[in-house]
Amino acid sequence: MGQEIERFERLVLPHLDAAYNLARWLTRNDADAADVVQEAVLRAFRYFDAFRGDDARGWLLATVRNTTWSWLKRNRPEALVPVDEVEALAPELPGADPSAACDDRQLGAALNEAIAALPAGFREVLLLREVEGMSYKEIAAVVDAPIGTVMSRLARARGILRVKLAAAGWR
Amino acid sequence: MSMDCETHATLTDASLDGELDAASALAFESHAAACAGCGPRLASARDERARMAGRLRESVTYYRAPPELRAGVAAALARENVPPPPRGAAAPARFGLGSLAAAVAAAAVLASALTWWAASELGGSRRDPVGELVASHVRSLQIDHLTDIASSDRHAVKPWFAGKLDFTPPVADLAADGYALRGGRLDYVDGRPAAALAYQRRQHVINLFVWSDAGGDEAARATQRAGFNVVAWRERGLRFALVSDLGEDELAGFAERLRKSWPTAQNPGHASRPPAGSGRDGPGVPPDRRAG
Repeated sequence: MGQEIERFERLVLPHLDAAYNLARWLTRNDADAADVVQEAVLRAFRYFDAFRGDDARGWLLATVRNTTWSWLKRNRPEALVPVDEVEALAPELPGADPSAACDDRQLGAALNEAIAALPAGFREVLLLREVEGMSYKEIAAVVDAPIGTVMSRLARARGILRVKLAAAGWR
Repeated sequence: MSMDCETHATLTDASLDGELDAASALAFESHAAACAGCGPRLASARDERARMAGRLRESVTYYRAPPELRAGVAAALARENVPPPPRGAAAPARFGLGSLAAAVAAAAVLASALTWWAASELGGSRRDPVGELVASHVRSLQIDHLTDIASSDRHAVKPWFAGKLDFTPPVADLAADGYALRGGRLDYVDGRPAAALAYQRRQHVINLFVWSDAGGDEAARATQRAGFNVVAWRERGLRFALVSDLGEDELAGFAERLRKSWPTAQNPGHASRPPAGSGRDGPGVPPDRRAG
């Protein structure tokens, strides 16, 4: 049993930050994210002998995502707007200010706010693509959806962000 | 394959992400080249992508796992490694044998001593004493699991083990050095009944496990498991193991202090307390305490 823990620590625990980041962005607070990740890591370990692949990060994130969504359904169902019912926003750019300062910190704050405001189903695909650099296929495995769905949610998430950033003065 | 403008617009992000298969990518490029609306639209999307490339990843907050979560995960994994303690384990065998039998027994014990660490470090055999120690340590951190006798007085803790174990664990008072005694409890290690002495240094709980393990003295060795430090040695037919999340150097330092503070074989007890039963030492001393 000791060597299973060693194998798990070596292959899977390096991705603990990625796991926490995803859970934190979905649950929106530190304590809940930590609880969910702890539960998910334990579950991942108990099923570890079923892991034969070479993508330990994707496997851990899939478990974390699944555990987090179960948690959200139990504890914060109002946060789960079915994303396919969200109306697509028109791509006009209302009153962009071309003289807006190109300050990274301000951009960061604007992005954080815009991403936090996204529906959870859009937020997760956007983060997995932009921050984790996952392929559509990897994202599809984590969020348990077809690749076509991932593609359309990602495009719509980016569209929403584009509109919000433009409204805040970014191009 | 030819593509219409609506499809072209829908596939733009995927194209910029490099996610179109060869056939779709070809159709995508062909349409852009031939379409007065889609060509410029694609060029503008490419510019925007070039400007924003990586900026989201760089600017958005990336939340890293806090240390408490890492420790909690390590502890939870260590608990997963727990084989259940044996029920009703027999008392350890005595070494009151004739010289040949004793020599054979000593050789067997020496062999098992050499494999004690090896079994743990390789993790390949079913015996995993280090894993058991860490699991016991983690279990003891739960509420009300740390001590059966909670006392900072070694003269209360040490005699508590009499009749419960067939050896007497040495109990040190190192409070002046910053290691507070929390108390003691019974535990199991490596299939044998053991004493566990709980100490505390700052926020760190330290368990000292002591059990019968006849054989020659072994120098202290250190290892790590699941984020905890373990220091173990053997002397006077007892094996000692310290387990804590205290740093490696401090734990080794504690081991040294413990060994120096214990009575030697020539001086089996500090005469710091008068023999039991005198009852004339003043109001502060209960008359039925055994000398430490």
